[in-house]
Amino acid sequence: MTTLAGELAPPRAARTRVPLGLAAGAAMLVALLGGSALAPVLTSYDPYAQNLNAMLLPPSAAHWFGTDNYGRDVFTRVLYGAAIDLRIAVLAVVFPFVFGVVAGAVAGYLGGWADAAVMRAVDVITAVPFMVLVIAIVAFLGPGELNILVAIGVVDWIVFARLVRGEVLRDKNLEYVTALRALGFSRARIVLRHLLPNALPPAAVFLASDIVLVILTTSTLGFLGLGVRPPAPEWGLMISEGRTFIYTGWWAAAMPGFACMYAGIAFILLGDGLADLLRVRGQ
Amino acid sequence: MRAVISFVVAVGLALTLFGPAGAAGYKTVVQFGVNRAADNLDPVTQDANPNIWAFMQIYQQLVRVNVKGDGFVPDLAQRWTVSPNGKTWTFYLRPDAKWSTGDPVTAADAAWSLQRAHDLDGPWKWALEAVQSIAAADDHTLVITLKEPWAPFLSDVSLFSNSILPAKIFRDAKPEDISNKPVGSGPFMLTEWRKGDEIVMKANPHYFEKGRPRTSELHIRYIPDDNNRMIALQSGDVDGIDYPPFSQISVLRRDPRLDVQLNPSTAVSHVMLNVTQAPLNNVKFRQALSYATDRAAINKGVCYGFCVPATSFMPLTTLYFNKGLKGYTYDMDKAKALLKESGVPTPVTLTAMLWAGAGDPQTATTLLKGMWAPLGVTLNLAPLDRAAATQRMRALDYQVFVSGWTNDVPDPSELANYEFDYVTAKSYHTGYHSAQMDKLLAAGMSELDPAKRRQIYYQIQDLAIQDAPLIWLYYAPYTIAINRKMHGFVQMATGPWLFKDVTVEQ
Repeated sequence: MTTLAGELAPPRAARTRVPLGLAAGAAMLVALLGGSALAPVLTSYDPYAQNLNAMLLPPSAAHWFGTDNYGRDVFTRVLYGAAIDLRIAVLAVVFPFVFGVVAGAVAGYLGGWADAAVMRAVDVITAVPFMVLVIAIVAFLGPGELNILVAIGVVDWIVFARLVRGEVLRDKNLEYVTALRALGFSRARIVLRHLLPNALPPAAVFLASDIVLVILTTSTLGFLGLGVRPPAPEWGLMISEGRTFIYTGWWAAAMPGFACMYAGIAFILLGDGLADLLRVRGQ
Repeated sequence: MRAVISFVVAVGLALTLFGPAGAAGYKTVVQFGVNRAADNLDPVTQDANPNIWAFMQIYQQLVRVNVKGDGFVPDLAQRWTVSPNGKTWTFYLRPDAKWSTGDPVTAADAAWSLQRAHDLDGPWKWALEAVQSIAAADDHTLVITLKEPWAPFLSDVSLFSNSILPAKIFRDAKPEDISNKPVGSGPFMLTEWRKGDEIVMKANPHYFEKGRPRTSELHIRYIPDDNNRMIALQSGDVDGIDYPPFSQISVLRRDPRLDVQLNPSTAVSHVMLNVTQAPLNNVKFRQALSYATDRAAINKGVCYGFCVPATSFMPLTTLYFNKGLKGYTYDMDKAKALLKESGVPTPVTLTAMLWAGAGDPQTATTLLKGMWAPLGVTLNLAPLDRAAATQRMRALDYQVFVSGWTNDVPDPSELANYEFDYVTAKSYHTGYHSAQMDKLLAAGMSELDPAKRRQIYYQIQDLAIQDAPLIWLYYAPYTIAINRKMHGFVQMATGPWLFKDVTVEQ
């Protein structure tokens, strides 16, 4: 056993070597999540505590990212805000991912009226720009975290559906699927056990970049006053509140802006890395 | 293309050189950037400042409030007399006044306009409540008879809702015509209106004051974003802007090209409390909140120290403002004691309605959240769009709402009735109703002796503080920033701008 493992180890390690992007993205994300989780230990400030004697102080040793117009520590708020923005981002993509993948697979494999129904729904939603539709839904339902999740859920699944449908369409007439059909496997088994595993990797890769889109959407809604309610330290809301002071205290808006950028880059690297990894394994 | 451009340039030059008020070295167009857009220019039905301030360029009233906001000056009426019994007012109109169409302004126009303001159900119906009849005695004499002597009558006539409109044009017109295509006798006339973007006005060639307005065109441009408005001013795109935020005053003052003004206003900012629901129906609880509100801190956090902490419901410049009042001075111990007395169990959760994206009210609400927390009161912020918030405010479907008022007349009766008379506006949409207050308000309207009236309004201020249906926060000056090349600009204490003397150097 030991010999065998020893023999196999080197080539296996070479094949599954973690791509640099994946490592970097994961590290950035872990740092952000860790910082957010450990926020009470990392800073002694309360993200909500106002101090009007410390309004709009520039970044310093005491306030790494400066203070905002209520004298609140921006670094603390950015850390606490990560929990809100990342939570919404992750929760918001779960439903569209699952629903989109299933709808896409069913549409692709069954064809006919199922395909027509799913794809017409996709067309309808595609006809309106993503951001406009999300804003319209949230404006209709009212601001708040749950409504953001609903709005993104309604709109975002179509990308996954289209992606997976394409994969399934390409694969469903391949020999191995024909073989499965000849063996008398059920449609559900063919789709779930054999077609989906091959169609999922591109969807999973897209998921990473989709989270970036959702983070930006959440903060855009916050910026427009349609997102999380003030005074929550949500990044978009912080940018919106801080933008008035862009001349007197640029840090109040810029720091949460950098945080959005940081989270975006982390997920994009993660997605890229994941794609590399899956490509290697696919070969 | 080149030909077109040179043609445009040539026409532009010609306009600059030969324009009506195009005295050499001055611009023919005044550009002014504002933070809120007008949407309706009917004087009788509107109550939002952007509408009022825009149509005040177009209409005249019989008399006008003076710039300081504490007296009256003639406008369409040259002079006026009142009968010894105080019930008959006679206004003598200036014979040289003309509509922007060139037709003369007559007493019949005035009678029709005031009758319309009297009959229409609108937010300002109370202003002519005391009127029995309005009649034109001849072309230039208007006689108004009152049901009883009415102390603030001149004040009420000066109100913008009592603007004089041409009867001939509007008598049989649809109401939207007044809203959208107003005609008046004021210094400017509306020529083009791209709603939500820009109002273009030209000098009224028939305006009675010769040589005014001094600039032939006025463009009121809607630039809602504070930073964009300031950039537009600094880049020379506009000649002046309203409402540069308090936080930017010190920055703008460093720019030598700009004149940053803090103009005396008739404004008061306050927190409306819906007193029809528990726990805000408990007066002790409201007093506790009032004591827990640190006005000095709000002045610092919202106004950067440029405001005055409020001590009464009345703005500083109002007639009979009681300078001796202390109002609610910040006292957390007293607040806690009152809360205990009130019997309201803590922790309490209140919801503050908020205009999404509203700058100062949002800041004030956020500060209140911090201030009331030690009292055991959790204030949740609920942003809504403007229309929805206004609707819920009017339906008394809210708990806490930060808003503000500007006096349009020097007399205290306008605000006192709006704020504490249930019939007028559900006591500023708080639902407050007090028999004692009703009696004082009625006395304030009919008492003619100024010394006695002063005492009545002092009592109203005391009772208001005691009952605390609102929490009064601060008196803010109007902020204006104009290019130093702009001369003659005046902002009245009641808010509207006067552009008729304005010139802008090239």
